[in-house]
Amino acid sequence: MRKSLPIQIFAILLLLPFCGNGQNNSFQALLKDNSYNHTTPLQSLHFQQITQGKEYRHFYPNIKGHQYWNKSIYESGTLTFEGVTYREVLLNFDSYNNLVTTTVVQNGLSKNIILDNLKIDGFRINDHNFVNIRDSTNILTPGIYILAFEGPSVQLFVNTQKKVVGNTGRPGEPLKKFAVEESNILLVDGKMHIVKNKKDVIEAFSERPQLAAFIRSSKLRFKKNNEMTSSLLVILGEL
Amino acid sequence: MAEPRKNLTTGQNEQLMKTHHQYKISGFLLAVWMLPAFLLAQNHPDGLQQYQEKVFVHTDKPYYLTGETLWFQAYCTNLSNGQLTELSSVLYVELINSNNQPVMQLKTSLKSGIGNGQMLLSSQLSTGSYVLRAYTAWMRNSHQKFFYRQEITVINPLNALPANTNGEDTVVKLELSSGTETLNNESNFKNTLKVIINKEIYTTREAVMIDLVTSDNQPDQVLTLSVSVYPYYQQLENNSNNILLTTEDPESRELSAEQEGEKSHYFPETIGPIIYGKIENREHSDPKNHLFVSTGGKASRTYEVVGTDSNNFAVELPLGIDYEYLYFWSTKYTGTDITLQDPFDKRPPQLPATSLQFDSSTIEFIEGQSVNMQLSNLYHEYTKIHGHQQLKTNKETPFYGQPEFQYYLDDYTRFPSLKEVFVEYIRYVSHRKKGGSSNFYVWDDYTNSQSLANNVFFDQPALVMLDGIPVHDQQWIMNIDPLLIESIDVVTKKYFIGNEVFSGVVNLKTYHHDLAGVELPLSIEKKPYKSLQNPMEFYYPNHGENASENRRIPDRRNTLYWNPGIEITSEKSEQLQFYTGDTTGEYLIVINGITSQGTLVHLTKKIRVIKSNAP
Repeated sequence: MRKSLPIQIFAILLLLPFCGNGQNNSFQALLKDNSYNHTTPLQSLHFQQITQGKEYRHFYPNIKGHQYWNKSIYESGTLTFEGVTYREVLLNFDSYNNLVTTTVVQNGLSKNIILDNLKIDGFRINDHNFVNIRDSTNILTPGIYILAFEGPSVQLFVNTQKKVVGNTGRPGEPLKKFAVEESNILLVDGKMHIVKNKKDVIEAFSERPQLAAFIRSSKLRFKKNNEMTSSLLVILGEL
Repeated sequence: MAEPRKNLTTGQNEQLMKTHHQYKISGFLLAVWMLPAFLLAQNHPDGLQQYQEKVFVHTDKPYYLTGETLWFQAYCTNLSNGQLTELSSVLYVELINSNNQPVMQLKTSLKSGIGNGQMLLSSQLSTGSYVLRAYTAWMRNSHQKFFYRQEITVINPLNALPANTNGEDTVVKLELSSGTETLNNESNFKNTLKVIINKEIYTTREAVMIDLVTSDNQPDQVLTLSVSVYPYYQQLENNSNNILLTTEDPESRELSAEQEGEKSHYFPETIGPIIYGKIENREHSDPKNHLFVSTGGKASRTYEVVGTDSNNFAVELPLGIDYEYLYFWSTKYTGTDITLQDPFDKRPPQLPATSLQFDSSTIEFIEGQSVNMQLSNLYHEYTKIHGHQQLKTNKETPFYGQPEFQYYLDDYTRFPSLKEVFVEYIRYVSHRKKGGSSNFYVWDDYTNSQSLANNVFFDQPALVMLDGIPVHDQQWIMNIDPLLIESIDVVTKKYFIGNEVFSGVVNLKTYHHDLAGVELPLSIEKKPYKSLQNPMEFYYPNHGENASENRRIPDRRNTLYWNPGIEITSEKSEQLQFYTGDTTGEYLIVINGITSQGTLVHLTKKIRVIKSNAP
């Protein structure tokens, strides 16, 4: 992480001045606020709730890769925090520690902070919708999921998690590395199905014979994680 | 430059210095690169200044007896397109008497432009014409002609009613609404809303069914409605309860708050209520810097105030938490003198002097209504007359979220002093003397987990709180009776608030999160605060299911039905059902509403209730 800090800062700097261009009717578009620099009292007030938090300082110099779900840089996204939606917020999701982080400027210095999981409703970065399941009575285990598909009776959630695995054994290489572990969860008519292969998918749609037949006859592949999600999206597109 | 830390190895210190240096560079680069953003940000006030809100308030009826509850639903729209606005989240509602004095004031929340609430009209009010005024903080930057104003007749039946011996009523119509559209029933809205009522004449205690259907084919078009049913009496009617008659007066666009001698400096309350205040402090050049406000309680929040100009500041509080007090404190100085601004607008509505006089038949009607109210008070519990509390989910998490460590003191042997508690149990907090003063130091989570060192504590004191209220006087903390403390939260990471960084947080929590009667040190300035109203739910009996049970209990409701916040779409219609009471006569059904595209809807329908022949 030490090596990637300048890259990270550079990426943030590139993004900050220009990420306020998505105009809409919302107040935030009127604000044209894309920064945490709080140039006006109005901006300071508006972002007060999401510019405080615990310090985020998870660096893993001895592990290959990074702990974030996609990229190690902060990306501009939308955050719903305690029921309020904030647009153009610099976000990242540390899927190893299950933490959502943002970056703030304090006294001229950039600081990475943790957004409290208990207050996050959801967020959207890089065209992916993340939902935070906090209610322990929910059919899904509490945690942060990608909501890949949402229909009236079917939803597809992807639980993406980073884990630290083994070592390469090669001299000079880091001993351990981060690896992605994904699981796909289908909610069909309120019933939860963790799907790992084609058979699981057919079983999840057992009460919809036409769809089950389509899956059976299709040449969709389900073996790898990324194959599974994209194949499921093809199936759900048939609904 | 960062100072080398004694508790770190040379290598760790080098790394720390390097990181610090990188942050310094990033701060400089950030300032350079952010320049275009600053320039863009300079433009925003123009766009925002042109954003004008407009409010309409639907009350359950136009006249009230003292002791009755006034129910209302508010619609806040964007004047430019007529659509419900998401700009403001707080609505200010006042009842103002003919002397321009507010007699009741409340704040209620707006969600996507819709909010509701109620006012219990005090028996101290005298008979007369009152004005119900509603506005958002953002609207206060405009001329008060933009405010919503509605005439309300309030009658105090305990006092002698002003009788007119000429035989004519002189209920003065203030005509506060300045719209040009005329009241027109169903024909105007047949494409938007269809209202089907099962009958026109009902007997007492009979079910009234109202079907609300929209024939608009657009599936995403949502029609938000409020419905009231009350005894109709022509002499007490006015046209103010009509959303169509709130069309803005074109002349008012040219008017500004400045023309009324008002400074327009109110921010839109997008998240929650904004508190404005002024600080005087002779010892500090810029006292608003390093000034914080805490709310205390279970879901305690702490914010650094935002300076607006010289000694003035603002701070925005989130919705969903009730506070009784705000606690102001500083990390740098003591001896502050804070004045909080009244959140309600001070401009008098400048009403004409009015007097009410009623003819004998109106007095007879009012007396009938009064008897109904008294019988209701006699036979029904409070919540069946004035509504019951809606289920609400208050926020319960403190500002720092889940602490890394939480100690429930009842799980341990109790000690007579807090000092012993910290020494014996709270291993992640160290109370020690450094630089001549005693402070609490918290275990440094990151340094301990990411280096070979262990048992490293932050070298700066932690933020120490009692029920979420920071206290810097460590001796004062140590003197608290430990038996009053239920648990201690410890945050072992640095915590950033505004421009301040705290080396961990220690929060001592009493059993009821209410300070348990402990008086706070004088360095903390405590200010009373009135939270937003929690809307109640209107009660109406079900004479179908509970007919035999209720048979001997009189049902003398004046307002038969009130339902705010009904939403229908092309795919979701609504059937309302309620029962008539024991009072016969004419009733008026009033429906107001707005579509998501900004089309206004207003419908009225009269029904008659006659005596039932049933035994």
